[in-house]
Amino acid sequence: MLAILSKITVTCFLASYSIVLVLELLRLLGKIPGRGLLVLFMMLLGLFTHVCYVIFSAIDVENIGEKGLFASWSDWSLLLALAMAICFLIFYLRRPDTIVSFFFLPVVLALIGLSIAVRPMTPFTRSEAANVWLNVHALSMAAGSAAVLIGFLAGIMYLVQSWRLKNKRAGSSLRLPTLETLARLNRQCLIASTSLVAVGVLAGVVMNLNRWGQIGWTDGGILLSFLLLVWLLVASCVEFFYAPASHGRKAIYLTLASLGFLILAFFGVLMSSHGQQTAEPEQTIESSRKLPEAQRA
Amino acid sequence: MKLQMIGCSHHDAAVEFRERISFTTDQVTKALADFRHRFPTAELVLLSTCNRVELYASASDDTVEIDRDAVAEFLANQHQLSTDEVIHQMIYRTGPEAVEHLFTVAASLDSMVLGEAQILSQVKQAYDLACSTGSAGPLTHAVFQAANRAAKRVQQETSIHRRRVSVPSVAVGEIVPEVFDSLVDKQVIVCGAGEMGEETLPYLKAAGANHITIVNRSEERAERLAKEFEVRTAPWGTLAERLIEADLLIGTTSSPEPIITGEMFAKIRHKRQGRVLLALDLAVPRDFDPAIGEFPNVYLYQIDDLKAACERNRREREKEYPKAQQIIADETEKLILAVNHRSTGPVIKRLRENADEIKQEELRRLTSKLQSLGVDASVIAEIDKSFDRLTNKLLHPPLSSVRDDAAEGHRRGLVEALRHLFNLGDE
Repeated sequence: MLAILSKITVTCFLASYSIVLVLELLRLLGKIPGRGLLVLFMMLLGLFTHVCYVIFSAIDVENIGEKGLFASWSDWSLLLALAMAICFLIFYLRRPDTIVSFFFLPVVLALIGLSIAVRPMTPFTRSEAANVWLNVHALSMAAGSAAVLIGFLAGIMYLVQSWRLKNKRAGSSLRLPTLETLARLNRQCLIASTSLVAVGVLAGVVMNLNRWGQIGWTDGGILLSFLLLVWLLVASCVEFFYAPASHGRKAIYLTLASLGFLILAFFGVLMSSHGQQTAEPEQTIESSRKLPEAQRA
Repeated sequence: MKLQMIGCSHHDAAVEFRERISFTTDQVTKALADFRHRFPTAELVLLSTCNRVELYASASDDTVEIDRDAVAEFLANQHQLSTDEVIHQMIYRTGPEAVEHLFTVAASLDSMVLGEAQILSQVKQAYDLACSTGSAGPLTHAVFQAANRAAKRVQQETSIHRRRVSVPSVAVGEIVPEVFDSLVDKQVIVCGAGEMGEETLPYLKAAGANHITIVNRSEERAERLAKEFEVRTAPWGTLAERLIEADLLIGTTSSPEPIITGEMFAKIRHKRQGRVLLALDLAVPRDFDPAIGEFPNVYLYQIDDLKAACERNRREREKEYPKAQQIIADETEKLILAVNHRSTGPVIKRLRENADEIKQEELRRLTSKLQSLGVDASVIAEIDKSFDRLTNKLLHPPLSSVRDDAAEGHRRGLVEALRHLFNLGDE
């Protein structure tokens, strides 16, 4: 199975996305029965092959050599194309009657095309790649934390506003945003924080692989960051797929709990050596390669 | 003969009490008939709105015992309550104070929403109903017509009514924006197609509501209103189903019992999947069981709960309040003067008639004597004029004093004195 999947090429998902675009363009000719299902199928197929291609490229260690992991313009274009394709699928699932595909899919295809075009360019070294992914990791985690905090504040304001309204204080001069605004802000913050923390954690993984060749799972910062991501994913799933929890105060409690996990993650980072390593990536990779050999000996 | 007012309003009685003693239009008609039956010579106007129940009574016959206890007992009997239960919650005004109170109410200075336009039409309706059932009399005619004039003056001479507001406008304009960003795409259910429902709909439309459904017992009335405002209707029997999809629920019916009970809401609550529901109960008696406000994500506002919003509104308008109060005071004084002056009319008329009879009798006797002596007719005519001047000069000082006393509210009782001194008989 893995052997088959490892044979996936850019052409596979490029073709899938192109077919989706063609199917979407058929809207111009009128209503075609089954078109929507076919779009969904081809889009999922495209995403699956795209993800497989990215994963197999990453684990193809032999070909990596001194080249960093996800350390070329080509890789970044592919990742960006993947992110855009996922965004399109979300928009499409939310409003299948819209023609967002006309805007998203050309960009996805253009990015894949760019990836192919810039493939001959020399990739960045592991050290350079690690620095890039470090910045992505830091920025994403910081923005994700801000989103969790804003979501928390929106949640607190929602509860205060709810209390005001329950206690017949509506119309007084000390006002807060509407319940609807606060609920929406809370929801958006949950989505933003989950996405940003996910990007941050994945960027951290790539950075670690570039720098150390492995991930320090025993590190408190890494462990608790993963825990935060898992919680945010669970909270997002509950929010979107369990209707009774997606409205009113129950939704707010999810984001309030997110702050608890964020604080835990902060403690994990501050109490461990996370982010304070100064060793050169090359040296560490060397040593990490030597260690198994020594063990074998 | 003086006006008395006994009643209660949102200022001093809770909605729980007001809804127990409120009257529907049919009940008002019956109460007026009962009052006439019990006090045949008395006058009564009964004002029953969401925020107040007030009885304005007067007896033209002083032998009729209409006082606070009698009116309170009558009111209590109408609702099968004990007099004690009613009388302690009531305020009582009499004479000029009662008149001033009515003027203040009609001018919307006593309303929950200062300057709201609805109350004047409600006062007019109460008066019209009393007229049509024969319960109004000379005093209530004078007082209620003057109340209308006073309210109009306040409207025209102050800016209190410049931005017309009402309970529905405050409910939609102040409460809704605390919960929803806009009413676009929100499911709005209006229960009732009466006056309050009709008044609420323009505000909902102005707030952007594009999914309004009227649910009313009388489908014909609902259809008429729906056509006027281009909204939908739903059969009364589907109220529970409508409740599932509702974002904003407004109660405006005149139902004596809650149309949505806690049990009814509990049954459909899980189907709402925790969505926020804002329920505005603008009806008295209340349309929604207060128990529904206890459910999570349900925000219930009854008419008394609009006070915070109304307070702010009141502060903005209070600048004009002294000017309006001055108009009320002027109009009250003017009416009292007119009423008092009017009460001296019959006595003065009788006194003049008596004096004229005496003059005519004396003149007749003198004329026959003078005619036998051959006196010229022109001389007799001159004597007639002299008698007139004499009578007028004699009556002028006492009548001036009586008029002055009447203007001061009959403090010295000169009309009564005149009646006894000249044996003018009872009124």
